[in-house]
Amino acid sequence: MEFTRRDFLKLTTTATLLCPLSSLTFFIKDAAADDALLFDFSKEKKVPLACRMCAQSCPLMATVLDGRLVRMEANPNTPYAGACGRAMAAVSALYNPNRIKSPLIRVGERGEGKFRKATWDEALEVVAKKMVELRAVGEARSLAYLPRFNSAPGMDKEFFTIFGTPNVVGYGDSCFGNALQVGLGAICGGKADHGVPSASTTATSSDYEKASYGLLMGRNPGGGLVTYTWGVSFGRGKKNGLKVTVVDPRKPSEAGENDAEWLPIRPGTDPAFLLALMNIIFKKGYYDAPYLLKHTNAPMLVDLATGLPVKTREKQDKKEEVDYLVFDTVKGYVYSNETETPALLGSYLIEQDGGKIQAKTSLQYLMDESEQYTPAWAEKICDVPAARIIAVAEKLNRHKPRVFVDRGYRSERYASSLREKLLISTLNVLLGCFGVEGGVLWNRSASLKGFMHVEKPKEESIMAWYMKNDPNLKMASAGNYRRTYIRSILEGKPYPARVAVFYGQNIVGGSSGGAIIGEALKKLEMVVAISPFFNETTLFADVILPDATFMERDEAFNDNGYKSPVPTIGVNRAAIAPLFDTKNGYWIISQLAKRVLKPEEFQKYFSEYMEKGIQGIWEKQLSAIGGISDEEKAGITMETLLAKGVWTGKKKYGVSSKGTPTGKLEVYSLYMAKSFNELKVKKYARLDQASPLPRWTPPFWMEKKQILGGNEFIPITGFSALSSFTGAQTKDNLLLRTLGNKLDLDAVFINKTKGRTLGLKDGEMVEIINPDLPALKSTARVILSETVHPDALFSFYGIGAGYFTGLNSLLTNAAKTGFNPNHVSELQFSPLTGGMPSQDFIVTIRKV
Amino acid sequence: MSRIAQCYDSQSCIRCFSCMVGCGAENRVRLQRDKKRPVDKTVTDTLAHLLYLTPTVTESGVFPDARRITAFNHCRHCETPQCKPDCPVSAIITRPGGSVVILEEKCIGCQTCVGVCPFHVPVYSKEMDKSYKCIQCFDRTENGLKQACVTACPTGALFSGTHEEVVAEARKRSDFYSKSTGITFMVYGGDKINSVVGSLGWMTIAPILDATPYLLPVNPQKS
Repeated sequence: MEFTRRDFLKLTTTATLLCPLSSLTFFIKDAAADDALLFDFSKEKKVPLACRMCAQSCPLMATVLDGRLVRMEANPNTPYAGACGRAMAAVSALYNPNRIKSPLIRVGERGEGKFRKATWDEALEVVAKKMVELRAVGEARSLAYLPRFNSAPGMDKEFFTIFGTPNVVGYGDSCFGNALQVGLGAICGGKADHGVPSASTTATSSDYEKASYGLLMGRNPGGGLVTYTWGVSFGRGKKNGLKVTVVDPRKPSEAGENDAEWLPIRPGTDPAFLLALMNIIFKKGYYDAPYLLKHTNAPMLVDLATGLPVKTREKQDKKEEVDYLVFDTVKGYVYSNETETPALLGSYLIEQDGGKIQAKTSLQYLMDESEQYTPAWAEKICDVPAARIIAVAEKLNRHKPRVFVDRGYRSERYASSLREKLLISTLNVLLGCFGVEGGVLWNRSASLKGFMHVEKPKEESIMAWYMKNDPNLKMASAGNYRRTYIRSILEGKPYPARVAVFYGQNIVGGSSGGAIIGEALKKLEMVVAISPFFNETTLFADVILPDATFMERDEAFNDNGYKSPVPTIGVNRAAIAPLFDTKNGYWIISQLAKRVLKPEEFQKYFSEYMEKGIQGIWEKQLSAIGGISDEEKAGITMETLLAKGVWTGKKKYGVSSKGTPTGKLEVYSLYMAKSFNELKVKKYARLDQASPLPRWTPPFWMEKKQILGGNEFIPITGFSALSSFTGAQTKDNLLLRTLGNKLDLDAVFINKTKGRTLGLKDGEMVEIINPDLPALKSTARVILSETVHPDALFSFYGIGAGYFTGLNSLLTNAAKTGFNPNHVSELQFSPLTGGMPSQDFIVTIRKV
Repeated sequence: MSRIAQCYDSQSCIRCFSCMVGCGAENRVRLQRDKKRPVDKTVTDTLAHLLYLTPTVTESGVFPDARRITAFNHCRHCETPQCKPDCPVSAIITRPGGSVVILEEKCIGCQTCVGVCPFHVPVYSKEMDKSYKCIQCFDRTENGLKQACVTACPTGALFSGTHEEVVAEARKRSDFYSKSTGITFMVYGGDKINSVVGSLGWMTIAPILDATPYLLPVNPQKS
């Protein structure tokens, strides 16, 4: 059969006229024809991207055809190439007609979502005028800048810092702040942030691909974010024979449907389960003694009266670390660097300064204190049978050190979250799997030079003030405090808040106490939102500036956003020019800067960008690279980065701490011990939260009620791979919704038996209420399932319309019903961390 | 061109649905390429008939010993496709690599294929008055590319190649899973299933005991 390219074009042109628009016609006439060659794939242009459908920046490769972005694929140039369903649907976010197409200025009441179109000039001028006014009266600090999905990395925070506000407010207190950071940092070390040891979300990875057995709690690697690298590594692990036990109130299919063991647990009681595991690990001697001897402070002698080491001294070679007293059967009491065979266990009466000190080794102390937390005790609290807990401990022992207790990621769920994360870190150390192949390893990252170097304002941030004045924030993140910022608006402390600028940050939909937060925003003099999409927070904005999506902009190289054992530098290029009347973030920020800053300031900080554009940022970034080996550095050039669209280095195993007071992995945390003592002096009410010892602290809801009533539930959430946070890039995405509808993603899931007792039928509409805030109602379809614990009401995060149904007319593809626990919760704070106990309250349901 | 195949490995799948979204996206690329409608005009429409790979969730067991199984619905690309001989207008063809394709231009929407398929795969679109199903991305495979769903999969749970290669890899994985989990796995469609459908161009690795919820009938018959 003769079939020329000209014929093909003729045929398709005719077809355009004859066929219904959405039909998919194949012009293949018979099976033998090789006319598939007519499909010319060489016309497709590839552009590297760092995906922002969630926040993980997975390296992608976009396909551009006829000026349109048509397809997403994983960037193949990494050892963990992979992209999830969200990434595949990016094209549907890009061309979504519900995007914010031009600058908007509010015409209705705040919260109503009524706006008029404005020009960029007008909108920028409104914002700039207010900023200039604040600066003129020395009130720059009263403006808070709240970034999340910010599209001008390297310039946006810097601009607001030059402007003069100390309040660059991170979102992390609604995610990882600070249970996750302190939970690892206190045991294994982490950067001190205002004295709080903080190991970030990117600090470690479970080595799924090499592990034999692992425990998943509070995270599912398929639905949860981070396909690069965790999703990919987990899939490889399953292929390599990784066995998992999932401890979760809902059974996540993403962990595996064939052989994954599921232990349904009562919401918020994970620490009880973990304490019982520790109990068995000690009782049966499942800990790794040689590992503990070599890498940890397990032999450290602790004074039982003070909870501190019996004696310490500065290390000769490392002044910032201390050495401690241990017991050696031959040498007696010596400093740890004087013996290689200190006792791991033992209780001692030490004579010192004429008195006697009762002491134990750290390990002995932990062991003794964990005795009370038997599996039988835990069963009563967490509802996991004692025998199953023992079996898990046995499996961990059998497979160690190729095991992990997964650290999780989004930690801010319960008042008990900090205790959960501390226990997870301790268990990984006791099992000797931290730093070891098949266990849990430190991630590596490269650091690039910042584009701008700016001086921090001298004034104190809101959070610095609160941390000094409220012991309940002792272990909070100084940079992640968006809900404490709301508290500051409501309390008027330490100084009045006047203006909030949200850059891709949805505080109302994405943090608990949403409705209360919305009301608080009404007290401000001005609210500005920079976002490509509408969300709950934009409803409260006076001015909305639509920035381009990640697919429409060149960005600074991404050096620190990766949860990856291999150091990674991501590249994000504009696949197409910004659609509608949207602008790239660098343009928006530099235009604001031009209007707000003094000419000499603008010249000093922005001239390089004005002259060279993105190239100027890239050159500056590559002028000094840190964090990686010289050999790795040599492989990084502008040309190779841009050509491959990504750079990756090597994965490294190795047991080490990152900045603990003793330089060792600390099974007995000196930071916690000292904090405990400080809080004791201040008569802090929840002292057990700060204990360096194993301690059970219940979630808030259990303090109210030990056993839930027949119509009471704890509103738990989890990620679906077809949604991410509360942004409309996934929520209002038609490709994702089409599939999501087949999976009931907008529904709430409750236990079948309990649902039937309540007279509910599968698929019925129910009303969900927080009895403490009964005016905030949500409606959702209910699914009765055997895979949900009776105490839990499960919903997928970031999908349901929730309480703010006013968004329904703006996000026409999104679910019109569904539940978002954030909307209807109180503005509660987790003890010590300032985080959000997002699931730690009781809701009731009733048939509509 | 030798016979091609692909395989879904239910054990290393993380249920991220990248494959399914990728399928829907690829069909939109085709619409643009065929000058029907550019992508920006099709991502605003569900185009449900062009979703060739969809999930079917079955729940089994009683709390706490319960689970859900997510089966993948898709054309099996049978060695002996039952839809093909019965099509009254010969709109169904087999590509050189074995992919079974409904030619949309020829399809008259009679739904014979919908009725006879032993796996209940083709979907009739009322709107188009035509039937649709997976075409195994023959346009891609015949140009040396992998299927859209295989390309989308981040974990290698969907893989493809020549029929021989895929059967060999699938058997290797299945044997390993049987050993490592203590559950007996099978490669559904690697060998001839029966005389009705023969072997399959799209196989599945799954536990034998879960054949029903994974939509893998032991003895598929023409409906």
